[in-house]
Amino acid sequence: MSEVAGNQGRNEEKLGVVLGQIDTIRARINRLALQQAVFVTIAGVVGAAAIAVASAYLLTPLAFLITAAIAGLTALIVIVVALRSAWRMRTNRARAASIADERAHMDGRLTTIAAFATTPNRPKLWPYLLEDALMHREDFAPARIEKRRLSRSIFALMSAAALALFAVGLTRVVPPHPPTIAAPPKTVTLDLRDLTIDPSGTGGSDGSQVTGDQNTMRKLGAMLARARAAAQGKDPISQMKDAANRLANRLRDKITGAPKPPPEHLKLADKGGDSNSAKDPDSDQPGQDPSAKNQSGDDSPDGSKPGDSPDSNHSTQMPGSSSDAPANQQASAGAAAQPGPADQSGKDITPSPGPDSQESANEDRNGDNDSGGASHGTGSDASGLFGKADKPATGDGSFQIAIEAHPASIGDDGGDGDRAPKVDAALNPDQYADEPLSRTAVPPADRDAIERIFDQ
Amino acid sequence: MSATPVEPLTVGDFARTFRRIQGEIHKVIVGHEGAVESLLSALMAGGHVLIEGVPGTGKTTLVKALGTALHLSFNRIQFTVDLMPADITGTRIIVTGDDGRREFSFLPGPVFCHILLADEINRATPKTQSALLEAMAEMQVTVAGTSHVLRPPYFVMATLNPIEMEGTYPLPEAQLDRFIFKVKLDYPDEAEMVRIISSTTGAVESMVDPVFGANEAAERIEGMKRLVREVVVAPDVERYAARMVRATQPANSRFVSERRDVAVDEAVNRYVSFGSSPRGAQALILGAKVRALLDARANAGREDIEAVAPLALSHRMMLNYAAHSDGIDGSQLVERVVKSVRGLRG
Repeated sequence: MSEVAGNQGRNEEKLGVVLGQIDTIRARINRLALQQAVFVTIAGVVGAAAIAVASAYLLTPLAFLITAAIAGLTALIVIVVALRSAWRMRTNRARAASIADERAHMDGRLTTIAAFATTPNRPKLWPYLLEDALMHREDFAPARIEKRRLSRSIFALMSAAALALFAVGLTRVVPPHPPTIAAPPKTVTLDLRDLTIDPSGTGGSDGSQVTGDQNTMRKLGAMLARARAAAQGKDPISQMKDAANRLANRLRDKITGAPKPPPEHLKLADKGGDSNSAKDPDSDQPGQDPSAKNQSGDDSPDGSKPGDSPDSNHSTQMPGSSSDAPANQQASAGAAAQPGPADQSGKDITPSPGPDSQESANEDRNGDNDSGGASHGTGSDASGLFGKADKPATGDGSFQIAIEAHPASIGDDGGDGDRAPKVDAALNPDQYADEPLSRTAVPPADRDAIERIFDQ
Repeated sequence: MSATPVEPLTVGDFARTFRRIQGEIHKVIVGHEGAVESLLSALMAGGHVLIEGVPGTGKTTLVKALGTALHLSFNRIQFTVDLMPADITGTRIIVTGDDGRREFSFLPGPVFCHILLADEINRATPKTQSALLEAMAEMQVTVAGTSHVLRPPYFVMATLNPIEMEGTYPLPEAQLDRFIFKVKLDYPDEAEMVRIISSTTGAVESMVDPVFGANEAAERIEGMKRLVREVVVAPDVERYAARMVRATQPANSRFVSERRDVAVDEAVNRYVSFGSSPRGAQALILGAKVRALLDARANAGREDIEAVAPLALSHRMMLNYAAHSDGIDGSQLVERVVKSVRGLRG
C-alpha cells in the first residue's frame, strides 16, 4: 500500500517537473506576445507621428496632409494586425505543450501529459509516459523551445525611434516655414480695384484690420457678397481642395509651431471710384445703395483731390485734411455687429498681383502720383506736401468689419498661401518696401526746396 | 491446447518482440519491409488486412512465414467463382455415433484457424465473400442456427489481384470496411530480385523460426494486442483523427449532415463518391497506437495518425468514374487530405 502511495508521489513529482517546464515555455511565449503588442503599438504611433512632423517641415501643405494621413492609416493597420497576431500568439498550457512537442520533436508526449494531468483516472501507461517525457527533459527545456526573451518587434520600435530622432533633428535644423524675405508690412494701402477676394479664405481671427471711407467700405461689402456667392457656386472638388489646404496649413502650423503673422492693417482706397471701372464690383450690382453710387460717381476717374471733395472721407486724404476726416471708417476683425455682408464673410481679401497693383506700387515708389507716399494712388499736389505727422490710422469715427485681410492667396498650384506675391519679390538696393512712408514733420527751412523739386 | 500464463508485456518488450517477428519473416521475404510492418501492425491492432499485389510477389509465402513465426495455425483458401459459403465456414454432416445413431455434426471450414489467407478474394461470388464478414467482424461463424466461436487471435489476410479483372466480383464497400489496412505489394527492385534468386534457388532454403512457443503464442499475441489498447491518446489527437476522416467525405455527400470545420480538398469533392466511415477513425487510432509502441512511446501523436492514414483510409474512399478516368487512386487522395487537415492544425 505504501509502495503504491510512494509511486504515486513520485509520479506527481515527475508530473510537476514536466508541467513546470511547460508552464515556463508558456510564460515565455505569452511574454513575447505582450512585447509584440506593446512594441508594435508604440512603434506605430511614434513612427506615424515622426513621419507627420518630418513631412510638415519638408513638404507642401497638401503633400504633408496626404503623407500624414497615409502614415496614420498605415500605423493603424499595423497596430491592429500586430495586436491580432499577439492575441493569437498567446498560449495556454495545452498549446504550449503542443508547441514544445513540435519544436522538440516529442511526438505528442507533452500534449498527452498536459491533457491528462488534471484527470483523476490516469491511463495505465501513465508512469511510463511521465518517465519517458522526463528522459527528454533537456529536449524541451524552455530555453531551447523559445530562445528569444525579447520580441523581434523591438526592431520596429528601434526603427520608429530612429525616425523620431530624425524628425526631432529636423525641427532643430529646418525653420518652421520656408524663409520669407521680410515680414509683411503692418500697414498696407491698397486700391479697391487691386483686391482679389479669395473665397477660400479661412475667415480666421488674425486681428487684421481694413479701413476705408464709407463708399469704399460699401463697395468692399458688395465685393465680399459677390465672392461669397461665387464661393457657394464653386464645384465641390475645388471646395474640398480648398478645405484640405486650409486644414493642412493649420495642422502644419500647429506641428511646426510657426508664428502667426502679426495682424495687418489694410487701408482701402477706391482709386477708380467710377462704376465703369472694370474691377469695380459694384458697377453692375443691382440693388446697390444709390447714395454709394452717387458718391462713387462724384469721384474723378484720375484720382480725386482731397480738396475737391472734403466731405468724401477718403482714407487717402492729404495730411492737411486727414485730421478732418471723422467719417474715415475702419474695419477690424471681430466686430461682428457691424452691418453689411463683410462682417460675416470670412473671406480673404488679398492684393491682386495683377498689373494694376504693380502699377500702383510703382507709382507709390516714384511719388509721381502721390503726396509723399502717405496715401497711395489718390493723387496730390504741392499744396498738400506738408502736414502733420501721421497718427495711427484708427479713428474714433471709423467702423470695423470682420474679414480676413491676411495678404494671402492660395494659388491653384496649392502653393504657400501665407505670403502675398508682392512680398515674395526680393528688393534690390535701389528699391524700397512697397509701403507708404510715414509722414513726418518737415522742418520749415526745407519746405521751399522740397516744393521746388516737387514742382519740377 | 491450454494457454500458458505469461508475464505482462512492457512497452520495450513490445517493440523487441515485434522486431523479432519481423526479422523472422524477412528470412524468407525479401524487401517489402513496409508491407510486413503494416501486416504485423494490423495483427497487433486486432484487424484484418487486404493485400493487393500482382501474382508472384510473395503473398502466400508471407502468410506462411507469418504463421510459422508466430507459431499459430494458418489456412489458405483459394477463392474461385464456384466456391460456396459452406466451403469456407464449414457444414453440417451426418455422422454415425458410437451407439450407431446418425446425427448431424458440424465440420469446421478453413476459417477455423488463427491466420487465414483468402487468396484472390475478388474471384468468389459476393455471397461467398460475405460469408467471411461474420468471421472477420465477430470472430464467430453461424451454421444452421448455431454459432461457432473462433479462437483468438484471428487474423484474415485477403489478397486482390489487380490484373485479370474479368470474371471477378469487386468487394462490396461493407466488406472493404472490415479490413483495417490495405497493403500493396509491388514488384521487387533489382537488388531485391537478386537476393530473392540467391535465397530461393540455392541448396539451403531459408527457414523461419517460431518466435513464441506453441503453448504461449496465442496468449503472447493477445497480450501484445492488449498493450496496444493501453496506449494513451490525447483528446487533441483523437480530434485530429476524426477531422482526417471527415475530410475524406465529399462536401456534396448527402450522408454528411454538418460541414463546419471540415477541411475538404477540392480533389475529394471531385473524385470521391463516399468517404471513410467511423471505422476509418478507429483504424487510424489503433494503427497510431501500434506505431507509438514500436517507437517505445506510451502515447500516440499526430505524426502517428498521419503515417497510418494512407494504409487506413485509401481503401475506404469510394472513388467515382472521374477518378478512374483521371488515374487518381485512393492513396493520392489521402495524401492530399492529410495535407489539408495538417493545415488546420493549431
